[in-house]
Parts: sequence; C-alpha cells; structure tokens
Amino acid sequence: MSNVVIAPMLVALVTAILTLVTRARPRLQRTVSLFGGGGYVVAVGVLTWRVFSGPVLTYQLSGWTAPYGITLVADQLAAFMLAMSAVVTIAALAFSTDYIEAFGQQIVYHPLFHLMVVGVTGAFLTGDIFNLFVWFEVMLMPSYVLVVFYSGPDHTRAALQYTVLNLIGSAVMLLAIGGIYATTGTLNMADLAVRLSNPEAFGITVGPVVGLAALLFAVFALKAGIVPFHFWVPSAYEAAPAPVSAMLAGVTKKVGVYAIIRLLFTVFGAAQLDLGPFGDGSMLLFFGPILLVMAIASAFLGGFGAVGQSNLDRLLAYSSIAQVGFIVLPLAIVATIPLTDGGTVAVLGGEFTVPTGAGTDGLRVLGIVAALLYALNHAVAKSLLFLVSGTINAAVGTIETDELGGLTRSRPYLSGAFLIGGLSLVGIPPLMGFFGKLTVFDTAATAMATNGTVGEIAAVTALGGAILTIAYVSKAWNDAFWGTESMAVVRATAQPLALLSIVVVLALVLVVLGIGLDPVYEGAHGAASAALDRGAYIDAVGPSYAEVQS
Amino acid sequence: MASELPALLDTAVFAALVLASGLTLLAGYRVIVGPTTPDRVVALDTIGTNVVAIAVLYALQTGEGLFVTVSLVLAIIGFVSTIAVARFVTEGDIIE
Amino acid sequence: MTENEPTVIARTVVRIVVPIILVTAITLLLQGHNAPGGGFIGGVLTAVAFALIYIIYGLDYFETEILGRTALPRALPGEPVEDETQQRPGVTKEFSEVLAIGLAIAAGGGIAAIALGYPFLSQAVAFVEGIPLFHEIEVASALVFDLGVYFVVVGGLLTIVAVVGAE
Repeated sequence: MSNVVIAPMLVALVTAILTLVTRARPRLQRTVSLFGGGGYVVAVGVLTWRVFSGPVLTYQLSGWTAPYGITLVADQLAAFMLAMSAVVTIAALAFSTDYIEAFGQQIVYHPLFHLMVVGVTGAFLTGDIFNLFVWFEVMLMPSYVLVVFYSGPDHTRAALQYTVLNLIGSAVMLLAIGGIYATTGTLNMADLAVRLSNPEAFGITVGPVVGLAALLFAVFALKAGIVPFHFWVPSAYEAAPAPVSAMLAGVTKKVGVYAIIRLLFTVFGAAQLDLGPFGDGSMLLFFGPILLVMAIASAFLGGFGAVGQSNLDRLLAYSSIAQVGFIVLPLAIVATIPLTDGGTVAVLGGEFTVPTGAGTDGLRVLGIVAALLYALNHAVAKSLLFLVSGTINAAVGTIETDELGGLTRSRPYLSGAFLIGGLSLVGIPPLMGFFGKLTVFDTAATAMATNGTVGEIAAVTALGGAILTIAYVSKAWNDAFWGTESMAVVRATAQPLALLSIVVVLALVLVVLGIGLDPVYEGAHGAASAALDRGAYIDAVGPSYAEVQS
Repeated sequence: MASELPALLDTAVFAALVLASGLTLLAGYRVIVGPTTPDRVVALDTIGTNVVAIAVLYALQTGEGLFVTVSLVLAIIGFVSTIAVARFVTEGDIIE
Repeated sequence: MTENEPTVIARTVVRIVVPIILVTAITLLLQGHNAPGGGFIGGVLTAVAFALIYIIYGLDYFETEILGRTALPRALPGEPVEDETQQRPGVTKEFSEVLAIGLAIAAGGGIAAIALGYPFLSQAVAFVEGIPLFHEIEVASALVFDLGVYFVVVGGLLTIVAVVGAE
C-alpha cells in the first residue's frame, strides 16, 4: 500500500480543481496548470521508477480489500503506458497555453484538460472493470467538450457524432460489464482471471463470457479507432484544436489499446474452453483472427484514406487509423497462435492455478513488445505532427495542403520537425519508428515459423502499410513543405516561437528515443512480460476468498 | 413482508399493479400514435403518474420503504416536467 | 416577462411546492450514506426546484428578488457585446463557482484520509448521543463526499439551465 500509486491521479485532479478556482486570474491559472502538468510528470516518473525497480504496486481505495473494494494496480505495463502519456500530456499542455486563445483557456480549457488526464491515469491504473468504465467516462466527458471547443457548425457536427458514438459505446460497455458480473460474480480483474481459469471451483460457466468479452472488445476498438469502428476519427481530429488532437491520438487512443492488451491477454486469456472452429484453448484464440482482420483493414483503409486527403489534420487522422492497425497487428499475430507449452502457475499461496500467459518461445512477449514500441512511436510522432500542424495553423492560418507550399525555405525548423515525425512514422533508422516497425516485422517473421499463413498475411500487411505510409507522408511533405512558396506562406509573418520550441523539443525526444533505445526496449519488454505474467498480477492484488469458501 | 398483508389487500395490490401496468401500455400506444403534441404530452404525463402508482404499490407489496422514496422523487420530477412542457406548448419557450 | 404571464394558480403552487422539494432534497442528501439517496439525487432535486422558479417566474426573478441585485441586460447570442459579463446571466458565474467548490470538497474529503494516514477516500462514522429531540445522531464522514457531489450537481445543472434558458 503506497500513496505513490494514486499520486498521479491526485495531482491531476487537484490541478483541475485549482484551475477551476483560479479562473478569474488567467495568468495564475495558466501557471497553476503548467505546474500541475509538471507535477504530473514527476508523479508518473516516480511511480514508473518504483514499479520498474520493484514489485507490482497495488492500492486498495478506502482500505476495502480485493475483490470487494476498488483496486488500483501499477504494474510495468501500466507504468509504461503512463510514462508514454505523460510525455504527450506535458507537450500538449505547454503547447495549448500559447495556442488556445486566452478567453477559451480561461473559461474551461485547463480544468477539462486535467480532468481528461485524470480519466486516462485512472484507466491505466485501475484493476476493476467497472472502475475502468468510470475512468473511460471521466476521460470522455471532457473530450466531448474539447472536440467542440471551436463551436462552429462543422465542429458541432463532428463532436455530435463523436459524442453519440462514444455514448453508445459506453452503454454497450456497461451492458457487457453487467453481463460479466452476472456470469462470474466479480468485477475485479485479478479475481476474474482466477475465476475464469477455475470455473468449477466457483460454479460458473465460461461460455457466455466469450460473447461479453467480444462486446467489451468492440467498445475498446471504438475508443482505439480500429476499422470498422473508425469512422468518428477523421472529423473529430479535424474539429478539435491541435493540442487536443495530439492528446486524442497520442493518449486516449492508447487507452483503448491498453484495455485490449490488459483484458484480452491478462484476464480473458486465462479462460480455457472449446471454441469450436476457433480451436480449443485460451479465449485469445477467438479474438486472434478477428483482431487480425481488423488490423489489416485498418492498415489499408487508413493508409488509402490518408493518401487522398488535402487537409493536414485529416491526413494525420487517417494515418492514425492506419497506425493503430500496425499497433494491433502483432497483438493479433500472437493471439492467433496457440501456446505450445501452456503450463500453469499456482497463485494465492497455491490455492488456485492459472494458465501461464507467456510461453517459453517468447513469441507472445515479442508481439506485445512490438505493439508497445509501436504505440510509443505513434504517441510521440503523431502528437508531434498534430502540434506541427497546429503551429502551421498559427503561423500561416491554414492547413490545407493546396494553399501551403515551400515551408522549408521560410520555416526550416518547423519543416525539420515535421520531417522527423514523418520519417519516424515511415520507420527510418535511427528514429523510434524504425525499431517499432522492426519488431512488428520480427514478430511476423517469427510467427511464420510456427504458423506460416498468419505470419505471411501479417508480413504482407505490414509491408503494404509501410508503403502507404511512405506515400502519404511524402505527399504531405511535397505539397506543404517543398516546392515554391504559396501566397499564404509568403504573406504569413507570424513567428510562433514558443510553439516552435515545443515542437522541436518533441522532435528531439523522438530522436533520443530511437538512439537510446535500450532502456525503452527494456521497459517495453518488462511491460509485455507484466501483461502476460498473470501469477504476479493476481498475487499482487491478492483477492481474498474467505467469504466464498466458508 | 408480503405475507403480513391480509389476503384481500394482497390481491387488491396485485390487481392494481396489473391495472396500472396495462394503463401504462395503453398510454404508450397514445404516445406513439399521437396524433398531436398535446396528446403525446398528456399520455406521457399519464405514464409518469402510473409509474409513481406502480412504485407505491410495489412498496406495499414488498414492504420496502425505498420505493416510496423513488415514487416521491418521480412525482416531483414528473410535476416539473409537466409544467415545463405545458409552458412549451402554450408559449413555445420554457424559460424566459 | 411576456404578455403571457403564468396564471395565479401556477405561481401559488410553485411557492408551496419549492420548499417541499428542497426539504426532500436535503433529506435525501443527509440519509444518502446508508440509505437510498445521496449527493447526486439531492442535487438533482435542488436544481429541479430552481428550474421551477426559472420556468414560472423567469430568469431575472431569481437575481432581482431572491438575491436582491439588479439584473444586467443580456445580449442575445451572436450579438456583439462590449462586456463579457453581458453575455450570460450574471448569476451563472456563481453557479460555476459552486461547482468548483463542490469538486474541491469531494476531493478534499478523500485527500484528508491520506493526510490522516488512511487510504484515499477512507470513511468513518461516529454516533453522537444525548442530543435533544434526536437523541442520537449518526455522523458519517461519507457525508462530506456526498456534500461535494451535491454542490457539483447543483452548480453544473444550474449553469446549464441558466445558460440554455437564456438563449
């Protein structure tokens, strides 16, 4: 029990309240907001350091023990995701203090931004699926307002679509959670994993959970913007202010990805049952093929969509659909292939056994490492690109590629930042993106040895997706940055130095992450192992069954 | 605590529940068919009143005081919504 | 006020009903920690009571008659305004302050538990005896959190009612 687990959430919550209280004094509010953002980064940093140098940390809210109370669990996976979101958060926050007009900032921007961070943090840390729903809502409600921030007709239409879709998603999620509680009698994730792997001991049937898990999975796919649940992405990202788009693409999307990893691999994967045509074994086998199809569709639909866009934000939005396809592709590969050496581990002092998540061949770990590295690359690179697009908007006043051109001459640093972000998406060494792509290909190649078809399909998809990435990044580069200077660029005199410096720093982060990959890779490896180490997760939470057995 | 009720009252409560539920369905038909807005409003108001009645009857049947609170809150909100809709129908604006 | 003033019946009924609603709301708030009720529904009912005043007496009545201020003339949405305070009813600002205070109370109640060495959001209960009329009163610290929720709901809903009602 350590307060360090809850610190990031509390820092963000207190900052949200303080920025609400100091609304009458905009300068003070902005300072409080920035200090709060800095405090958040420090809190996340301490938590990450503690988790990576020690055991899994848990926190029982108001002292009720699991599985009855609300548990927060900080394992290496959660810490990795938190650290990723902290980088994007502080950059987006610093960017918005200069980018969003003063009146808008004063009214609601800062409190909402920090509330969104509270939701994100809670979603990463929670160890309870109903609580996950609550944090999703806390994260989404501010994002509804932030998407409609400019409140023009187009923004309102986009925000309405975004809001309605996510509300439907939330309703479905609640339904699925209710069903899971009715079927298994628990909402605690660790407890759920124990019960699903020992159905006889608890007198439950596992069959219905497959369908309910599929409902949950659809909701997470909606939040992550995976085809066929991607249609809200382009208009919402285009409508939202640039730093908010950076947050949506860099952070809230990753919450969906995190939920898929956590629930499918750590929790539902523990269930062993006969899935008919999908095979006999872990519940993951059911989701593998589905995830594979969705990943392929995302990579291609997003890629083709991006090539045809003439608005920079829309192009980036379609690109982020394609990139999420890349993130879930390795997950799909390893979910499809059954574990050959699936032994069991004893948990809770030997009282129960659960199937191990990771095999000895290391393929599953590799797949999740690939997904995490790619997610990190996407989080930093895509938010960098959205911030570049915002800086262009602030400097030139338009982000239509037809009206831009020749930015390299007048704005070399801005163009350089875009180039770094774009090349990282494409995957050019020594940038972060290269290693992300490399591990994705590595997973596909390793999988070919075990299951040829899946590995080949995945490799072809990754290759096709990579070519499409090159196509749309070079298109954006050619249209907006190279060539002769357009009228709009020539006339623009604004020099948003503060915005530019943030963008350049973020670009440097991307380079540093690539060059100094070792610790990042170690972190991703630790996070992937934690996601599959059900034994450690369950023992850390330690649900007590005293009442159940008496 | 249903067993503490006299048999006659128990039957009466049950009959009233069936009656109120049936009425709610009939009012639901009027809500869907219309044809005019006031028709729908009156039907919705009837449904609200019926739900309050069902809550009270259910409280009688189960002996749970909780449902009396529920009916109280429902009645208050139903009252205000009726007034708001009436204002809207007569003047086209709720708050001025 | 337009040419269609609400009838005397409506005005009189509202005068009687509003206090009843408020009493119900506060009852639900106070019993919320261990019986049906709580901050949320108490807040909703309080907001409903204020909404009733708004519907029958109009937006300005609350400011001029109850708070005893002069209501500022309001600009219509889209009209250019010189002064930001004119854009919305003046009382909206107070409503959103109520929201902020509520949020602070709710979070502060949780953090206080940490300061005392218990996990976040820990609650306690004490029974105070020998109070005239009541004999024994149950003082639960969960009430603090409920009170915070109550203020958040009241502030949030009334801001919405006042802003939307003004348009």
